[in-house]
Amino acid sequence: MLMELVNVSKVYQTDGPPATILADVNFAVDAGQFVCVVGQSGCGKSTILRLINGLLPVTTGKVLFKDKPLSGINLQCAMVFQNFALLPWLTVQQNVMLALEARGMELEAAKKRAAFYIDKVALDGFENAYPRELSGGMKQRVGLARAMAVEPELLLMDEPFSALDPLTSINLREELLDIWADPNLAVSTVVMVTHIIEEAVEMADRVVLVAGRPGRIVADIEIAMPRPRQKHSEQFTRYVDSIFSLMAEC
Amino acid sequence: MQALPLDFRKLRVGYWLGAALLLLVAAVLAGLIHPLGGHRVYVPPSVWQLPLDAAWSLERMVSAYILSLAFSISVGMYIARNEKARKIILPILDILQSIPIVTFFPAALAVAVRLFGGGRLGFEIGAIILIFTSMAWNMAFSVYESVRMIPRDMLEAAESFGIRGLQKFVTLLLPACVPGLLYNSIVSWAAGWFALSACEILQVGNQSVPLPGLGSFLAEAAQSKHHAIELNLLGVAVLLGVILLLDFFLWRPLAHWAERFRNELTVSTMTRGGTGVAGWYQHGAIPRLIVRSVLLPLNKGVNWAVARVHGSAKRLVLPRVAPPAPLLRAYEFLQRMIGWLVLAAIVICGGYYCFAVVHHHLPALAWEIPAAIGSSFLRILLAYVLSLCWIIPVLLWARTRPRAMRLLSSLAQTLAGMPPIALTFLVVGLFVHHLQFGPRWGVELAGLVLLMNGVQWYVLFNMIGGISRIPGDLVEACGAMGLSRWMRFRRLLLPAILPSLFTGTLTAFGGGWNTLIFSESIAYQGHYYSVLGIGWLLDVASSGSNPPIASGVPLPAGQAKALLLAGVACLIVVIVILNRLVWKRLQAWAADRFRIEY
Repeated sequence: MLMELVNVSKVYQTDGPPATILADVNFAVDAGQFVCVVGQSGCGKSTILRLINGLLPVTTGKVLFKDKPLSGINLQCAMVFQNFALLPWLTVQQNVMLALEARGMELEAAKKRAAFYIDKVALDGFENAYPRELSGGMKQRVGLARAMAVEPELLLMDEPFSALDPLTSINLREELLDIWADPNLAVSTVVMVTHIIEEAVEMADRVVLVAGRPGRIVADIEIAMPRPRQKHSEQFTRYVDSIFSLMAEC
Repeated sequence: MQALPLDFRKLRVGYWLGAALLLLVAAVLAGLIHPLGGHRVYVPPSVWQLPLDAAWSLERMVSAYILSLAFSISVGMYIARNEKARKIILPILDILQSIPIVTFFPAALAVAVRLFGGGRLGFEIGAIILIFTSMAWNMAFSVYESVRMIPRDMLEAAESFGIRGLQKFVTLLLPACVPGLLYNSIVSWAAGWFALSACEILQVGNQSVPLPGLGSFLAEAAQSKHHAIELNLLGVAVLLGVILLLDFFLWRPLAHWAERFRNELTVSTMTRGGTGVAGWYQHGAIPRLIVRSVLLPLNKGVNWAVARVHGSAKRLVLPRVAPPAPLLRAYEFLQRMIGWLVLAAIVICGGYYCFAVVHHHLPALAWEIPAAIGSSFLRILLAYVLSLCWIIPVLLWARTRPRAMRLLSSLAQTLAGMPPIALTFLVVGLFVHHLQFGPRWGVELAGLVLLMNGVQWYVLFNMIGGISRIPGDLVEACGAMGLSRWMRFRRLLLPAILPSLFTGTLTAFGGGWNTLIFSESIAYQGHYYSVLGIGWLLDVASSGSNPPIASGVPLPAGQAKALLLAGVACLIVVIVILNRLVWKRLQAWAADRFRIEY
């Protein structure tokens, strides 16, 4: 078990009455898996990612990483954000190197590592560009390169394709799957949050469905389909339909 | 240090920072060599003294600005990240920002003279602190707001990648402050120049001590028996020259550079098209030579030092290990107790002292305070309305003319720094002596012009920003619907500029209260003119003589102090009430009701 949430709940202390976002969340991720967390907006699926990363503390329960309880930020995770979260005043290369420097990596080694991943996301030649000079898809490639460059044991993605146009997101999804499948690259385990069910069925080994208020895990579905997956196959449609009907029930 | 955004190798700013530093060191050395003490009471202004005067003034401005930067960054960051401190410090900053700087004078001067002696050094430092009080507050607010405006996901990203400590400060917090800080620096420099004349003629007892500088040159020129007009105009010309040179060599290149720190793609009125010296030195051989031979080596040194500091600080970052909970709680309790005790001590002792002084020594003059504040308020209101009367039509005309807009914005930035003393002479001469309006209405009119100078540029400044943010497609849509000019003004332009109009009102009234002391109490060629107003009262109280000129009748020390305290207290109450109950509400209402968003 690489990562495990045990009886986790999360309560936000707001000005009004405390709001329970998540209750009794239990789920585990094995090394090498690609897990998608789906649910309607506001159900707490982004909160799950932030609990795994340690950006937010759990209210009750615990987060286990490699069987050890987590406290504080988990630096063995790396996150890709919906709106990219790139620093506008740093170049592509500087953005990718930032996290490496934070880990105390030597400058030359960091440069080399950054160049490698910038190349992997097909941005070579744009090292010295600033984020504002890039399209949305390219910005998210930088976000991806930044996250992969720290060679995390667990890659977290928070609706990474939602802010992109359809064609760009299709391309980037395929590239992400290639990267994940590449045995030469360190990224082997992914937890991705999305609200697009087709996206989840296309990419994931397992789809975890979160629903209700407070959010609970209502289904954990294994997608037993060979890759690359055919979106127009009957099996694909069946998976999508069954998840839709589960979602509608809640 | 490739990843530092403040990489001095890439910044043109590095050169200017280095140059400023050199200037500062030179000035400090000059101040040390210059004999202390032996201050003069009145020296006829000499033309040959002017370049040196300008240098002295610039040195004071730079020193005060560096102080302000350090203050605003440290305090702004602190209150942005500490909620408890914010609750105490924000209201204090708010009050400090809106009360006239002249009320700080006696206190600041007393502190400086106590600490550094009554010689030249003490007075110099006193003057620098006074200029600081006119520069620092809005900059601190801007740092606070910039840090609070950093998008949440950006902070989360930094945190999740383990970026903290100095690295977070240098790569995230500081860059996020740059655009706001730069804009406010320009405003602060204008405010500094504006206050300069008052800061360079220090009141010690009822004796005035002029420090060599442009401000005191202007003040002395106004009193000069010969060639008063020529000297005055010359002083104004030199001051304008310095302001324009700074704009060209410092603010424009900086504004150009700061564009990259903007988070969003909005049209900036700050760059005003030109890049100033940055563009100039790229094309000229001689400037490039100077840069290469002098500034580049200097820059390398700075770079090296920054890299060193950054490197060693990174090694110092320790893993976060929480101390045991009881210890932590005890520590926090202790910290809180000490904080409250200090606060209570200040409030009780200060309150008691003020009460005692006011209670025992309040002069009869103090009963004039309510009437004085009332009439001063009406004067500012009139100046404000008159400013709007010319600004709105002019801006509507200039809206579609980018060149005119840029010119207006330059004008506002330059003239906002024109100290009242520079205009006093001309205006009083014109209204009182030349046009024969008499001492009562002539002084009122002259004061009105001075007040407008202190009010209108803030309004213009804010409204230029507001008008250039009106989306082009809305204007086009109105055109396509065939709206008449009047309809377009009433339905689109006026609502769209209302938020910035009210923001401008807040700062404009601040500027107005600041100007009063110069516009209600005027010394001119051996005459003295005053009108009933809080500016006049405060001038009397802070100079300790009535009228506040060398030949005035000195007030007993306790009475002057009591009058000053009572006047300032009443003024603070009125300003805080006005801000809280009127301007801030109007501003919030307009910002909510007329927000343009999709």
